[in-house]
Amino acid sequence: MAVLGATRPGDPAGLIDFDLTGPSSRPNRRRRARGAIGSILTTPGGTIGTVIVVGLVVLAIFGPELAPYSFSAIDVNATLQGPSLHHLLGTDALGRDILSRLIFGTRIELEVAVPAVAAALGAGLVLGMLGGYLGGLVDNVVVLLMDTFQSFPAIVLALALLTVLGPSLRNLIIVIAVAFTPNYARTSRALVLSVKQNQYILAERALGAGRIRIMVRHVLPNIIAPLFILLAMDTPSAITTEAGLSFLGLGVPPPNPSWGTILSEGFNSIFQAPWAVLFASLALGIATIGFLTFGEALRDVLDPRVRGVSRWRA
Amino acid sequence: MASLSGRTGVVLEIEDLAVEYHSRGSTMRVLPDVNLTLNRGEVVGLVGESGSGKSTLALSVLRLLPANGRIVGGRILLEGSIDIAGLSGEQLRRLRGRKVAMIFQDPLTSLNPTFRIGNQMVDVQIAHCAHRVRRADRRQFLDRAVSLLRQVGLPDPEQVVRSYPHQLSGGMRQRVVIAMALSLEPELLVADEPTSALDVTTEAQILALLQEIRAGRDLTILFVTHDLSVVAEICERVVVMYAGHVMEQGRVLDVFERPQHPYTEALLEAIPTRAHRGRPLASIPGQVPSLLGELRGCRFASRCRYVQEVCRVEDPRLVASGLSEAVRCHMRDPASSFDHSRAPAPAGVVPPA
Amino acid sequence: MSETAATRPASASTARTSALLKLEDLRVVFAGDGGLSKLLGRGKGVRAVDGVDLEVADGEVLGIVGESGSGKTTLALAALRLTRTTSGRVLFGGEQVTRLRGGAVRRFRRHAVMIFQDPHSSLSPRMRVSRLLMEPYAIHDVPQADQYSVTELLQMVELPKRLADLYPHELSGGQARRVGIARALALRPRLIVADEPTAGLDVSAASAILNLLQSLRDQYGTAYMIITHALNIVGYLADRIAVMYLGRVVETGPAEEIYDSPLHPYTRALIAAIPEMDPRQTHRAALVGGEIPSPRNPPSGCHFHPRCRFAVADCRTIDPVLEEAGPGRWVACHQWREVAVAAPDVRR
Repeated sequence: MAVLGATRPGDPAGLIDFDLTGPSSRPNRRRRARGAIGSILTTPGGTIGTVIVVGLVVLAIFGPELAPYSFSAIDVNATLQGPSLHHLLGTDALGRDILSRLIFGTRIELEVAVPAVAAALGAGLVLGMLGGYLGGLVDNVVVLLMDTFQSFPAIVLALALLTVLGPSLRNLIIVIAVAFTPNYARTSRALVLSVKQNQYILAERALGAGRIRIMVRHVLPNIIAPLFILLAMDTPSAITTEAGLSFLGLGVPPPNPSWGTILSEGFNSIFQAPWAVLFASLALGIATIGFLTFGEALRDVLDPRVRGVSRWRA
Repeated sequence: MASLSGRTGVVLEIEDLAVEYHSRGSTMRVLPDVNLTLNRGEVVGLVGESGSGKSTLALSVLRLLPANGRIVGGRILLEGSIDIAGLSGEQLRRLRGRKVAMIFQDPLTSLNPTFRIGNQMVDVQIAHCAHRVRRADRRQFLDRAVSLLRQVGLPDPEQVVRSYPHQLSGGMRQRVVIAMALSLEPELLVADEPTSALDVTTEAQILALLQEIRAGRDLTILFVTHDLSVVAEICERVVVMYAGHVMEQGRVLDVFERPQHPYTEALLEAIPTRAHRGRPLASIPGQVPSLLGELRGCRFASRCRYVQEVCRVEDPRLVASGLSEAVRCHMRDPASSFDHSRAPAPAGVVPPA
Repeated sequence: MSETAATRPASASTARTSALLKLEDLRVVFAGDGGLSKLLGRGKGVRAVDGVDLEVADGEVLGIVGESGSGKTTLALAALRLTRTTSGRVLFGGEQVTRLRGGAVRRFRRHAVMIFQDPHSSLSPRMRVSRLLMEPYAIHDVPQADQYSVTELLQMVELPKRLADLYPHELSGGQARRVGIARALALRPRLIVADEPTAGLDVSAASAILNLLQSLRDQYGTAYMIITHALNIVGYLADRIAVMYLGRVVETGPAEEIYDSPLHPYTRALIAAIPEMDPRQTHRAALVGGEIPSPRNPPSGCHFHPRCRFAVADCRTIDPVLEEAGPGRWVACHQWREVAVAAPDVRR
């Protein structure tokens, strides 16, 4: 038996408050939020990606406590050994446990990659919004600047800057952030341009809203979602860039076990004991796959066209 | 009503048609069981608001439902013998255009933007040609296309034939679309809101054109629209749909003057005209019910001004009432348990002079 | 909410005290293929608004009617300074608003607001209804005492208060449109410009919106400028009607008079083209032939002359200007006197 809403004069059947099809009310909203997270886990890709990303984060935070050895524990008696009970992934040329070094390396990778990409997002977002919304001279300057930076391959740019600034963790973050900023600026700018066409922007102008207000309250929230997806998918690029730089010796100074450093040191003994190279490469590969699939699953969830009930057209 | 050729009879008979849409695990029965008859030479208006199922019904006639739609019951009988609901792919292809043609709301998307008009019109004829097409045939098809374009009122058909769709105005495009629909001399034309996207003056021209065309041919038209004034203008019979059900059916003159169904009555009252100046317009409170899941009772019950208990529980049957051929309402059904003493007969809605 | 401004009941015929909004020879030209064409004047630009003079009195409802290409939407945007005007003036409450900047523009926007055609796309998608409704107060720093509450605003447009927590995409078309209206009302504007207020709505929803607009007008005395192609809506709501064709106003006058005795051939054609609700009406006025030319290439002289059966030689060369044809009646037609006495033509 359907229960009708309160009646009012002019609405004897209580129809205005009660509707069968109406949009969801408060208690349903919580269910819908859980639904979004749940949807990521419905696809196999999403689950794998989430597991890997979460696993890496956990490893970065707690790993070093749990690692069997310190990353710099040298044991000259156990050099270049293969996987064994004592050293699950083997040892390197100085007898250091590869597994422990990889675990410590996870923290380094994320410590570098995540802040770098986040900073790139921040800077790129600001530049892209200013250029896209304000247009004119500001836009021309932003585009010119970004094009200039982007015309250098990331590694070359990073090399140049590091040579000037000197290798350190902080500089590494800065350098990678600079290399990635143009991408975010470009994407934000394109998103802003498309959002600008929407009528609600015109409506806000019609209400008397100023430019800053519109940019912050109306443009920003509507472009942030794709940028987060980009963040997820760029993190592995940042990781591999860092690894590349470390491989070239420009990354974190030894004995810090960046995966790239592990790789480069392992190359010298690749034929006798390929374990370092093998497992470091594997780590890079897994991290990349994890972040990419997570990012794609995130995109599927956040894209409103994919999610939700399709409209019936009778 | 007899048509030009003098042939009478039923062109289309829809029996107990049931159509469902599937999406992500849920099923929506958009049309539970629809019954409809079209006589030869008639212009029948299929009227309803959004969510009424009128477009679904129109698309079903040509089996043009989207991928997630399916006919799950009933028959669609063309000329008494061909059940469209049961045809195979190849049979359908032969039927479409040749026996039944359809025109849509947006003429721009109905035409392929990368081909000239002439090409597209010739293509249609080629597609239905039984023998291998020779150059002479193409010439003939093109001439026929030009002649058709002239018949639909385009002043310079030779030029139109060489043009691309984007070079024509909206009204011209709709004429082209009509000409294409007629090129194979179909028996039935299904028009899905063909004038809704046009300016008023252009709409008037297109409506006049359709009337002319129908008069000059053996054509039956099923005209789907949400605009009752267009129905008054061009249709002889009208079918009023609501939430998937046919609520009322009858001759336009009868239904407009003495609507039997509360929904029709409310609809006619709600349309703003100059005669209503200064008075509040009647509007229908509430919303169309969702068609997900099972619905009990009359689908209009939640918005009906005459509603009683029985309406919410039992689905009314279709009966003849007043001058209308069919009405789905307990109030009009003497055999239902509706308490007839409590509701007044609705006054005839007399259009303003 | 404290009563800071006196509410004026709308009395249509007597509220002609002052022109609230006045457009003087307003022109909006969109640049054609090159930026230079705008500078050169008669370039390849589209003359969307081609010299419009119009007035809206306090508390009056003016209906602007036109088909596609008439420039009516551009006119509305130009009147509210939401699009660049090429020349001409817009006066609001006697003050020139065309050249205002900064804070002065913002003050103008408190009193003249717009309701957009597409209800959903004019509401910022990531803001809840409650925030959308309070947005105008935040923009204009309105003190708490002068604000309506969210509930009050929703009540004004007959929406249940539970809608306050929803996002725009969760609302139906009719509900979203009402939210747009409520937002427009928040600042108690003196003028509301409504662009196709019932577009895309079902008959019942459309009637409800029209009822709402009417009752709000009765209650608050707001003036309206209603832009639409549907003559029946303005026939119901408007005090005066202005008919536009290809960027120009061709006729204005009291709504009833325009219906009963249209003076411009285009107005006649428009009224003739509207499908009648009465199925017994088998006689139809003659339909005008041809189609609306592209605004990019309007015919010379009177834009309507190629389709007009009253056209004479002058119509091809001389631009008609609005002439007074009676009290409050203006027509832009060289032949209006002939048209006035011409019998309504009948087909069949």
